[in-house]
Amino acid sequence: MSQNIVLVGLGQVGSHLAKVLSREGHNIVAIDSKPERVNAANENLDIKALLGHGASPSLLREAGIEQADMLIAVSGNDETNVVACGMAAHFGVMQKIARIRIPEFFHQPPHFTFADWGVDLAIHPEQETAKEIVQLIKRSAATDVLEFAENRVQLIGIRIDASCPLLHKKLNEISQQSPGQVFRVVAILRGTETVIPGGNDILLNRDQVFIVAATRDIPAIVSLMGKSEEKLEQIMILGGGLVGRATAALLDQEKNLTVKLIDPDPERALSLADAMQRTLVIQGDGRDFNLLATEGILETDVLISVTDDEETNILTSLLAKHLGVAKAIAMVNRPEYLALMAPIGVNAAVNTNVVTSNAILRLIRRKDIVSLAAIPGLDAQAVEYLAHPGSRITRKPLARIDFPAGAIMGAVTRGEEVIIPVGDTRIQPGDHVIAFSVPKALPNVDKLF
Amino acid sequence: MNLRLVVRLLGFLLLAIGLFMAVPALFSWYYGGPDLVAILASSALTMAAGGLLAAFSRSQGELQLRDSFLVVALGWLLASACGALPFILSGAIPSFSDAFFESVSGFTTTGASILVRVEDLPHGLLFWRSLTHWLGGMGIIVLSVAILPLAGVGGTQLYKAEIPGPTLDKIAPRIRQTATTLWQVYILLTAVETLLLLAARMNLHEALCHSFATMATGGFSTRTASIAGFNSLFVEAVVVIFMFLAGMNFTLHYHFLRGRTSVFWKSEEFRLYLGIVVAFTAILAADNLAAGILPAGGALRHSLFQVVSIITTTGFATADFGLWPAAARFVLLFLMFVGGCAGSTGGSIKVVRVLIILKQGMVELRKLLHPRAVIPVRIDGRSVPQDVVVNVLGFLFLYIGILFLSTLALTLMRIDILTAFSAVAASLGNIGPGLGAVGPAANFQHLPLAGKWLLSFCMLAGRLEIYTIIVLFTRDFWK
Repeated sequence: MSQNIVLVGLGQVGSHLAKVLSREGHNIVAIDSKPERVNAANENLDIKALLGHGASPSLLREAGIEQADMLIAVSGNDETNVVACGMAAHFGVMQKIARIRIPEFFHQPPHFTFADWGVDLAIHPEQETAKEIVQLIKRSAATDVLEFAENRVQLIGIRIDASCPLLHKKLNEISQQSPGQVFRVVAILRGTETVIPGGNDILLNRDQVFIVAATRDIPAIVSLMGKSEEKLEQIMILGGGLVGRATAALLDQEKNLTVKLIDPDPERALSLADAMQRTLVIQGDGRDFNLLATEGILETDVLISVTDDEETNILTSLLAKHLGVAKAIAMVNRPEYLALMAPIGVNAAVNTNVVTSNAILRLIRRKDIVSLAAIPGLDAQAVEYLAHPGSRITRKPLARIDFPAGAIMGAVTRGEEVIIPVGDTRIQPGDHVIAFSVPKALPNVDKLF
Repeated sequence: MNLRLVVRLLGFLLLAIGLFMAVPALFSWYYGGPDLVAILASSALTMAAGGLLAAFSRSQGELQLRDSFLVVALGWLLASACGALPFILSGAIPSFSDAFFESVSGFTTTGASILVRVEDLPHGLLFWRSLTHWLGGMGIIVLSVAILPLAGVGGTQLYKAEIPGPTLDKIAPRIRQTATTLWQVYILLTAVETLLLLAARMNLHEALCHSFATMATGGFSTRTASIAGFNSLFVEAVVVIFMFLAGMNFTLHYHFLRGRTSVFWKSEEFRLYLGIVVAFTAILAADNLAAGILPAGGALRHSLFQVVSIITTTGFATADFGLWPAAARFVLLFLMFVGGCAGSTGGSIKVVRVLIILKQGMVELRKLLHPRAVIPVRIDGRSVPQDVVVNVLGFLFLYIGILFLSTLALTLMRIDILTAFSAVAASLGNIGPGLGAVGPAANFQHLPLAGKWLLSFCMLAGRLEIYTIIVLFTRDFWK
């Protein structure tokens, strides 16, 4: 079912969305104020791009707003995004999505919501990214942490190394040998190749495995993989932009952490220091080794590099790993770089664009999907479905259902209970099913629900 | 410089002072005192002078920044000079220097007196002494801002030059409303205290005089023995409570009266103020008890009264603390350098400045380990701008500078160190009694003439928070 979508803003997120959505068969008309972006989009993508102000009523009408099913406003300017949504509401568009980045805007007073501005869904990518970073600090051994079913289920990524006791073992052997632990390996990232594993696949050194399990079982599974959950307490953040600020604000509330935030801009440093209660704000260049040494990089447990410059983020993370920092987290938005992270030893990469497009794709594919998430660098998506009384998946036990190749069942939640499904498990209406799938198989998985 | 406007404003100020000066005549008349004519004559003279100044300098235009400093400094000087008239004309204090000292001490809410026996003064003059406290407490200029229709900018500058504390708290968008509101709170608290003192069996004259002196943190009493002269626990309790209230930021009282009851506890300055009072009372009581000077109940009672009296810079006494042990006297001397909260009627350095300096000290310590750290000095969760911190440090330096130079000058007049130092501290901090020969049981009569003038200057400099006075002595000001 293809939709008519008007897209405001063709920056990194906008062009990524345009690419993904047009590939899924939707009709996209995009508006951007920069001629080079408009030209590039018209030439490289199967969309129509217009030049001008994203909240201009005449331009929106030219873009076909009156027939549009959805407006996605992801321009660099929050106010433009909100006003565009307001216009779209006036033209009767059903779904209006705006990206909001200024923190002051999403602390809404009671009885006043974004809906009052015509915004159905407000996405705060930097805030979401900050939450993800905090999760990564809490799960020290993980490269990725995603939450499902009100955080009763987690999907975590773990990088296998030579010390892993399960090396070269088949997955079904592993689950037979450790009956106490219920979990499912839903994907393996081997080099740049994504594998949706079956029971006969084995774990290799340097694999990055993605595991779905009940949240309370995760620590035991981590130790089964030969990793230990260390307490990470000394934290250093490089870059006080939106992500750095949001991350520091979250960590600022954790009493047992020591957080240092480094930013080169004196004014920004002052305003950050003003906003933080416990975090120590340092004004200086995060690439200056002497500064990092003075501020105790050698004693630091986690280095979070979230400056506006991706290359700086990658290089400082490498430097930190070299100096023995337990965990280095870098913000990397360019997809080409994501594949590099594992080989060069950066523990985790976060990506504001993926966060944004996850939220938007979830809304578009809506129907029975509770949540949907992509993992940076991995060519597969985690999808949380809600099973209905009529859903095909509920008719037979799983063994007798033809589950699409390239897709796998992760976990099922039935009320408070978390089930790792096997062949004779039968899905009941009302169950939440967390599945993992490569993009090609996704439509076939959708049909089961 | 808009001199005509400055003169005109000063004229209005004198008119107002003259008007207030007529009020004590009611008590002179009621008690049949010998000071009735002198008071009425002084009032008439002051109003005539004010009327002439105001009438002969009609002026338009705005008050500039430097004009406002001139208005405030000259205003206080003229008010004090006119305030001395009733003492001189009645013959109660024949020397102009002495009468001026008494008047400055009144307006600046210091409470230091050259009178050997206060009871010798007729009722009208006693009332005028206390009334000068009350006018000076919330500020004669703030009063003018509340009454006179001044253009916005000029009014704010005047207000800022007089109200104590490093920063300006605006309650209302217009400065005139802010000034009016503060005066209303002040009048309300004074009225409540007067009623309570009446309930404690003071007569109306005494109740008003002591309420004025308490709420202004002044310290003039109608008795030589000060509050001790009443020998009443009830009176002492009322006075202690209202001294403490007068030493608090009046904007907090305003918010409290508007129903925001948590406002006191949220203020870090208030918490420190309370903490200092509690801690130093405990030290003082313990020391007095150990030295066996006061009995158990009396130790706490008198220690608390003296601590509150000195920290709020009131200067009432219920005991001759000049006879207390060395540590106890030092505690009181130390408290002379703390003072009330910003926006209170108290004098001295102010609790918030102490707080800022303490926190800046801690920041410097942390910066030794983290040279590039940006660490704001935070009060009530908000960071204090760097220029305010620097302003406070500059204030402290000038304060100490004036303290040392004045002490040096007094010792050159053959006055002993303790007397000289504490007299300057008590004048600069608008406290009143010092230690040694100017202790609570003594007075300032015996000081040399030059010493009295120097201390008068210190009182004015202290009341106007140093900068407003000192700026007049800079070359830049007159360019």
